[in-house]
Amino acid sequence: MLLGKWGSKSRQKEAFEGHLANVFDAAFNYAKKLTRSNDDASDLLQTAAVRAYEAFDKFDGKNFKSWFFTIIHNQYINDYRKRKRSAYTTSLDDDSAKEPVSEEIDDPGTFLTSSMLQGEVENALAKLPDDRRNAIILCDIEGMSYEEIAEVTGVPIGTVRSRISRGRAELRNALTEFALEQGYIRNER
Amino acid sequence: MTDKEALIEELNALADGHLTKAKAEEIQKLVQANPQLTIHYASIVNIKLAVSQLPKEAQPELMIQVKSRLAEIDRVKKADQFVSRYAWGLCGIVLLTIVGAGAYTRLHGNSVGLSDVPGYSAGLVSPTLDNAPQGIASWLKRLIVGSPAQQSAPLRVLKEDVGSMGGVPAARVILGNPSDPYTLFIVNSSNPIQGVHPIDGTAQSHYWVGNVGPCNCLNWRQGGYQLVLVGKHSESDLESIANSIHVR
Repeated sequence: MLLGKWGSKSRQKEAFEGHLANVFDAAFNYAKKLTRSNDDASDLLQTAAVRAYEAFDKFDGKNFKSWFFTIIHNQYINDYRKRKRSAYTTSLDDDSAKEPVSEEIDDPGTFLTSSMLQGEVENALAKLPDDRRNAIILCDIEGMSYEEIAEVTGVPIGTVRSRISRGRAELRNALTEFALEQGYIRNER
Repeated sequence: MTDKEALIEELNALADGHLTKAKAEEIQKLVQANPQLTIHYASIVNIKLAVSQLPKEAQPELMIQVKSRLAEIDRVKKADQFVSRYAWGLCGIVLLTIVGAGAYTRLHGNSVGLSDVPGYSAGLVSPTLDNAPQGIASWLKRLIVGSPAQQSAPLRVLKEDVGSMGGVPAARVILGNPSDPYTLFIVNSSNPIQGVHPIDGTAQSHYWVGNVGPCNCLNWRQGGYQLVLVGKHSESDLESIANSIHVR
């Protein structure tokens, strides 16, 4: 690690830990949403933190959260996705992710914020393909801009927009189906 | 991408606040004018809200674990840096130790200690053509033992034995008479005999003294050989005998 930017090694460590503490809980929640397991999230976060610490001299000092989330994302791609979800990836051209037809039903959105449905939202989110789930987590949970999401995931902004749009459409489909089954909404077809 | 898909993306971008002001106004007008788009836009906003309200966890203990891992990394790096920075120094110390040990062994490795003399002495045998070391044999031939003034009778060579002491050629000569002998050890080595001290207390002393069992002994160097005279006599008697020993 270069010392020039931070003065001394102890100051560098102090700076890193300060940045890390600010984003740590968000990073854990992001890691958990990616891995869907507390243990895997802990491992992922620790590995990413070590990598980030070792590469801290490459951090430009601007947006630690984006920088660190990029490391988490890459680490997840390297270690976890291939191991656990290799069979479940879709491309942007996949027809299964087309927009749902919304004309036939009442507004499905009004019931979504009920706390009793949080588990279902979580389940539906967990079932999304990685790239879309990732984009939605970064956008809706972490509040990142499209530019930041593009930086973290290493794709163009247009792809981010597309992933978010299609991911929400899939969430909407899954939740609508659930709402119909449970009688929260009715199908007027 | 179809127009509809493009419009849906615009709706999502509007919900996320990622449209320019003009574009946002344009899409908002479309949404207000079309009930289906209104419903769709509302569903996007509600999904966004539902996802954003998912429970979040704090992990204070995990942060402590991470800090301890970082501290461990620093410790390992410090150790690595120390080793790599001082690698040449450490290698040099090891090398010097080896060289020093080698030099010490070379200088002192074949030294004969007084305490070892009785043991070595048992291994010395009468000289024959086969076992007599050349230097020692020639030395023995040239040995002259005079008659010290204080002795009533001249010293005679009673017996000669040859062999090695501590790995170096050596000989033993019994002098005097059988009831009161002196034993002279001749060691073909320039290394000092261990266990003796200077007779006059200075390092430049010609004679050095010590004990072999109950006997006194006198040690000196002569002609590149170490000589040790042993007997149940005083140190001055031994010195007197030593003064009478010469090599032709």
